[in-house]
Amino acid sequence: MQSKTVLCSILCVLSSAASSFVGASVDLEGFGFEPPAPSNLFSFVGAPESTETAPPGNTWPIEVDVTMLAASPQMLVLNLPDRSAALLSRDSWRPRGPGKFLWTGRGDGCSGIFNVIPGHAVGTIACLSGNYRMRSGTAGTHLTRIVASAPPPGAFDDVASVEEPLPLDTQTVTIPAHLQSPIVEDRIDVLVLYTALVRQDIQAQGGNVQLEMQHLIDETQQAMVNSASARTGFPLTDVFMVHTQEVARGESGTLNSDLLYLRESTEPQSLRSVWKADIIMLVRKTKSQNKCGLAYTPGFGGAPGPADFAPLAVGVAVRVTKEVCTYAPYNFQHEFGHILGGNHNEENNDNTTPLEPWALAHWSNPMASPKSGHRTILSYVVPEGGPGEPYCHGECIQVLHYANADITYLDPIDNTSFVTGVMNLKENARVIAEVAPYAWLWSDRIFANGFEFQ
Amino acid sequence: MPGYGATAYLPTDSSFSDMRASILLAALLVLASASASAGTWVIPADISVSMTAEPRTNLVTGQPIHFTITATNHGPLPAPILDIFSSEFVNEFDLSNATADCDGILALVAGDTEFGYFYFYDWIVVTAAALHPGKARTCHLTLPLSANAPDAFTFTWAIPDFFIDNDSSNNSASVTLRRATAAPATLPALSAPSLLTLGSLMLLLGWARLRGSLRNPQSDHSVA
Repeated sequence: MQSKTVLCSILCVLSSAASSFVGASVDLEGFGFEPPAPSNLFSFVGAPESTETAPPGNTWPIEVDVTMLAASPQMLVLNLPDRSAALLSRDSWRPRGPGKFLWTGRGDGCSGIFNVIPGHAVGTIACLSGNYRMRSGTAGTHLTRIVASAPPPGAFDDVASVEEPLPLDTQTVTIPAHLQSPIVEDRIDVLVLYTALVRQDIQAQGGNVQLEMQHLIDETQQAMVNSASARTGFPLTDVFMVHTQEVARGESGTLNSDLLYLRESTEPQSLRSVWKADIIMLVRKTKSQNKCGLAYTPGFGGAPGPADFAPLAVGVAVRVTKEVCTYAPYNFQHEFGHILGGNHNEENNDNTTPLEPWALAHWSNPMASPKSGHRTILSYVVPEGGPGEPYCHGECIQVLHYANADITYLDPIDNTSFVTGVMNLKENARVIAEVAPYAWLWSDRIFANGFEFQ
Repeated sequence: MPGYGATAYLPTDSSFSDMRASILLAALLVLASASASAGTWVIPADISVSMTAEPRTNLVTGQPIHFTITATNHGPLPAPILDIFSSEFVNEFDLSNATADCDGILALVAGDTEFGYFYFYDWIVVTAAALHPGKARTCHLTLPLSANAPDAFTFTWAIPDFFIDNDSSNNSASVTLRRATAAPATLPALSAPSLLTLGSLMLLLGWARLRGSLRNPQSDHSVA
């Protein structure tokens, strides 16, 4: 008995150490032992608070069990304060240096993406019942439920800080040669650029801007995992952040001019060339002319198809620590989807025959239920219109999925489900899987001036 | 993997090969890029935009409209960079049957606002080779009218205001497209009560004038 206990202790230590370093789990059942019961993600959840960035009752102070997450658990209990607990199974665990790691997983109608670096933790929880953001900052760690609400009067105006003066040319591009990334041609390499206002906003909240940018890419990767099926391959594509940095780009210009900046200016193009990026995304804080995102989209209305799309593979998303744009919690992934050939839902799409006729987003309401409807990443909320007109009920919760008819997102605890696409009609995931192999090669098709083709 | 065809985009000004011009262009590119951080790009020339659209009136749903947009450099220097944007549109055209044949690249931008979506075309006029003084480039675009298009609307192509050229007065061209059912642009319409009031006033005025004429037949021709 004593020897069994000693053996168990050794195995536990070994398994913990191994999983910490390589992200692998050890199957203890083969040794006749039950794996430990999954632990709660949050070791403490306080009473709801009111904050500047969220309506009353939608923000909770929390403590994250970072030690448990660092051990790369196969499963964990997502103990959200306003719904039944969900059991998440690990999709991936990636160590990113001492004290730095990513854990992602899915289950019971939820996806979780959790990034930790020393002193900071960020997380995204995408559930059928709602979306949540987890951030650590100067005021501790908080969990916020993202509620898409009707914008207040005056929302068409740009936020006040748009005119905030910014120092120009504060940063020069100097990239050490040894940092150049190797070409890996089975993934989309993304260069994420951000403005000084984004950094200032995140720092003011006590956050880490580089971690936030990494998290955007990790959310995107999880969307590619969530949306994958046998017909698309698994995942739809891998998405990898080759580099992120602040650029000397103010926000007084329009998003239209941002696209041109990404395409033509020396700084982003030099960075793209050095880092061999397939896609450049710019994250800015402020809307301009009420615009929340812009991206070139391939293959319709006379636009170049995926094979010729390399110089146009750029997008802009307004994304900061609070929901400036209420239309989508995932507007970075929304614009990313456009670049890969995805389109809006048919009610919000001019394009009856896009790159593929079924490359559309999807929304639906639960059958015979008063619960909220759901929509995929590229779908808008379809509001209530005339009598008899279909509309998306309630919050019309956005899920971290691109439309795929093969994928039914199921929450067995809340007895809710959402078939995320319609076969041969609404399947953005399939077009993303089709375009991705072209996107893997976009960086190879860019010359120094950004417009020559090989 | 489906066979999305590749197209080679070739420089359109093959004559641009001499060394001095290359150095000048490089300098212009540096200048243009340097100004980009401020959100503007300077084009050291006067670029004009013109457009034809056929047909423009008596349009019906599905009818293709053939646009020809032309960018001309009036000098004095080559334009190292130039984009021309269409006005934003939502669902006025049937993009599924759109065709284009353009110098450079015709790109489509999908935009998202707080409450809806829009598109615009970005004609990237200058790709590999600068647009030289005296030269013009064209874009032929055919867009069928969609069922959602209003009876009349204006479609514009313009150099966006973050490009600074020598004369902004000729940087845009617009056309008004009208359905067969659309009334031509005339005087502003008046409501029925307004028309009735106006008619009554005219009758009253006519009657008063007639009365005056009958009392003094010479008055209209009297000279002091």
